[in-house]
Amino acid sequence: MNYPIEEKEEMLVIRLNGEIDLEKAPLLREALLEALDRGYPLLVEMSKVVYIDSSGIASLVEALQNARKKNLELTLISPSPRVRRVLELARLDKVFTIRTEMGNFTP
Amino acid sequence: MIPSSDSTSITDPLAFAATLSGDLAASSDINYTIRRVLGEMVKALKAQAGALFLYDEEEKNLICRASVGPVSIEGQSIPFGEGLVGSAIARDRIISTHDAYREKDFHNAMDQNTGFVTASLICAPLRIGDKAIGAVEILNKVDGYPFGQQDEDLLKVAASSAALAISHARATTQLVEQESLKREIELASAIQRSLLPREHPDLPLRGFNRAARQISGDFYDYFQLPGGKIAFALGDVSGKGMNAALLTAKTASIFRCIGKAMTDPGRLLTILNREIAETQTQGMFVTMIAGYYDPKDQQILIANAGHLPALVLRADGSIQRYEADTPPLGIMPEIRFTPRTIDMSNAQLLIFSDGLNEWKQGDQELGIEGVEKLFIKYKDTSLANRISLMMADTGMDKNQADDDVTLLMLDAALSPSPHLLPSQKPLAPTQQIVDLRLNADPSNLKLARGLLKATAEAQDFSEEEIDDILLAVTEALENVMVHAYEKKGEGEIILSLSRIENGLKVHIRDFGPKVTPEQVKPRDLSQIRPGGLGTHFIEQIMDKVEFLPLSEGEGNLLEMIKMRKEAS
Repeated sequence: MNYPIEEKEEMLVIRLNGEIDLEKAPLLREALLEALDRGYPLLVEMSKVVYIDSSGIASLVEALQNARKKNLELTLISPSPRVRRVLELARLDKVFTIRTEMGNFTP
Repeated sequence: MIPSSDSTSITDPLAFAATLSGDLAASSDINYTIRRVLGEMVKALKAQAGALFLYDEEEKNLICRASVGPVSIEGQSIPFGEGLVGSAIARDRIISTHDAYREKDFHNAMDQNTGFVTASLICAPLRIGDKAIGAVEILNKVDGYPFGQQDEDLLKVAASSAALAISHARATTQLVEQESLKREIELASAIQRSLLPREHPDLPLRGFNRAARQISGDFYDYFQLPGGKIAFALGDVSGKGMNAALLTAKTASIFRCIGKAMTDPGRLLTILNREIAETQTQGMFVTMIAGYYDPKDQQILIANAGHLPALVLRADGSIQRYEADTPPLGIMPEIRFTPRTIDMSNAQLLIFSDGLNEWKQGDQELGIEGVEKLFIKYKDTSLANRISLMMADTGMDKNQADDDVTLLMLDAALSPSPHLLPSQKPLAPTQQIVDLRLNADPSNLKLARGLLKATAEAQDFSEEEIDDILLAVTEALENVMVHAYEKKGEGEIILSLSRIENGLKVHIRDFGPKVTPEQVKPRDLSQIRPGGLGTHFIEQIMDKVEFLPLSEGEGNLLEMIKMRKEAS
C-alpha cells in the first residue's frame, strides 16, 4: 500500500494509513524523504493509522531531521489516539508539531 | 619383482633425474616408488640386478625393500654395518668393485641363498639430511665391464632422488594416517555430542558433560514423555578410548530409544544390562543411574546400577545418598534391577560421574563429601547458572580434568513449564494458550498481532492495554528479526502465549546468535534520533521483561508479563 501525496498551495500532504511496522516503515521513510525533496512544507495526515511502532516512529524522526536541515516545516495532522500514545511513550509528542486540523488546507 | 630392461638407457644424469622425478611425483605409495626408482637405476646403469635396503629402526638392521633381477631378495635382511652395503653407509660414499668376491667386506650369504653370482657391484648410501636411511646396490654390469665414473654419477643422482622420494612418501603416509584418525575422532565426537540432550529450559533439569579427551566415556540424557513424566539417566563406561566411546554411544542411544517406551527404570536397566552383557567385549561395563520424575506428585522412581550415589538435598538442608544396590551393567546378563521411590517434595537431586568427586584441588580429592558441600552451597542459585558456579568454585572451569566430568541436576521446586505438562492437569497458575511459529519476515508481524489481539481480548484486557501489548510484542519480534536474524527475513521464531492469574505471559524464542543487552538496551530519550526505541516501549508497557538463560547456541528466550490494570 502506498501513501498518496497531494500538492496544494505551496504545501504537500501525505496521507498515512493502516499499520506501520517493520514491514511498512521502509516505504514510509522513502515516501517522506521523497516528498521533502520537492522542497515544500509537509503535512503528515495520520488519522487513519491504526498501528505504529518504533520502526514507523524512526521514519518520522528521520523525516523531521531531514526537514529541519532543509528548513522546511513538517507537521503531524490529526494523529489517531494510537499514534499519540506511541509518541507519548517515545517522549516525542513535544518534539513534533502536531495539529488537529488541516488549517487552510482542504483537499 | 620388476624385470630390468636393457632396451634404451639414459646416460645423462640430468635427464635421468628428470625421468625419476616424473616417477616419484606420480605416487605417494612408498613401495611402488622404491621399486620404480630401482628399476630405472638398473636400466640406466645397464646392470643385471639391483637391490634397495632401508634401515629398520626396530630391528636395527637393513631390510631389502625392493629388488630387481633374476632372483628376488625382498624381505631379506643384513645386520646394520655389515657387508659392502654397510660399509657404503658407514663411510658415506659410493663403493664400486669389478669383483665383489675380492672385497673383504663382501657377504656372500645372499648369493648362497639365491644361487645368484655377484661379479661387479656399485653401492650408494641413501640419506635424508645427515641421517642415513639405507643404501642401494646395483649388480653385474651386463656388458661385463666394471661400473665406471658415469655410472657413479648416475647412481649419485638416483640415490639422492630416491632418498627424497622415500622421505616424502613416509611423510605423506604419516599425514594421511593422522588426518584420517583425526577425522574419525571428530566424527565420533560429533556423534557423541548429538547424543547429549539439548537443554530444555522448560524442564527442571540441567546436565553437563565435559570430556577429558575429544571423546567422552560418560553420557547423560533427559526428556519428557507424553504423559508428563521426565526420564533421565547418567552413565559412565569403564575404560577410555574408542571402545569405551562406542559403548557410551550405544548405551545412550538405547536409553533414548527404550526410555520412551516405559516408565520403570528397573525394567529399563534390566533390558539394557542384558543387551550390553550379551554383545559387549569382556571386561567392559557401564555404571548408570536411570530414573523417572513425575512433576505431578514430585516423586522419583530411580535405579542405580553400580554407580556413585545419587544425592538428594531436602529443603531442610539434609542430604541423603542413594547408593547402588546392583552391580554395573554388562557383567551379569540375568540380573533384575528393582527401582526405589524417592519423595522429591521441594528437594533437589544431583547425580554425577567420578570425574567430579575425584577432581583434585591441590592434592586433595573433592570426594563425595566435597560434592555434597558444593551442592548445598549453590542450592539457591538458578538451575541454569548452578553448574557454571560449581565449576568455577572447584577451578574446573579453568583446568583440564584427567577424567570426563558429567553431572545432572533436578530441582523439584521448579515445576516444568505448563505447556509441556499434559492438558488434563488440574487448573494451574499458568496455562498455555497458543504457540505460533513464524518466519522472521516482517510481513508476518500483522498475523502475530491478530493472534495476540484475539488472545488479549479473551483475557479481558482493556482496549488500551491490548494496543500496548500489541506494540510491546511487535517490538520484541522486530528486535529478533533485526538483531538475532540480522534483517535477513529468515529464521524461526516461536511466540507462545500463556494465561497467568490476572495477566498474560508471552515467550518469544529464537534460534539466532545470543542477543547482547547492548543491542537492545533502551535508548536515551533526550536524544532525538531514529531507532533504539523498541526496548524502551517494551519496558514501559510490560510488567516484567527478562531474557531467560539458555545455553550458548540455543538462541534467545524472552519472557514478558503483562498484568491487567484493575487487578494490579
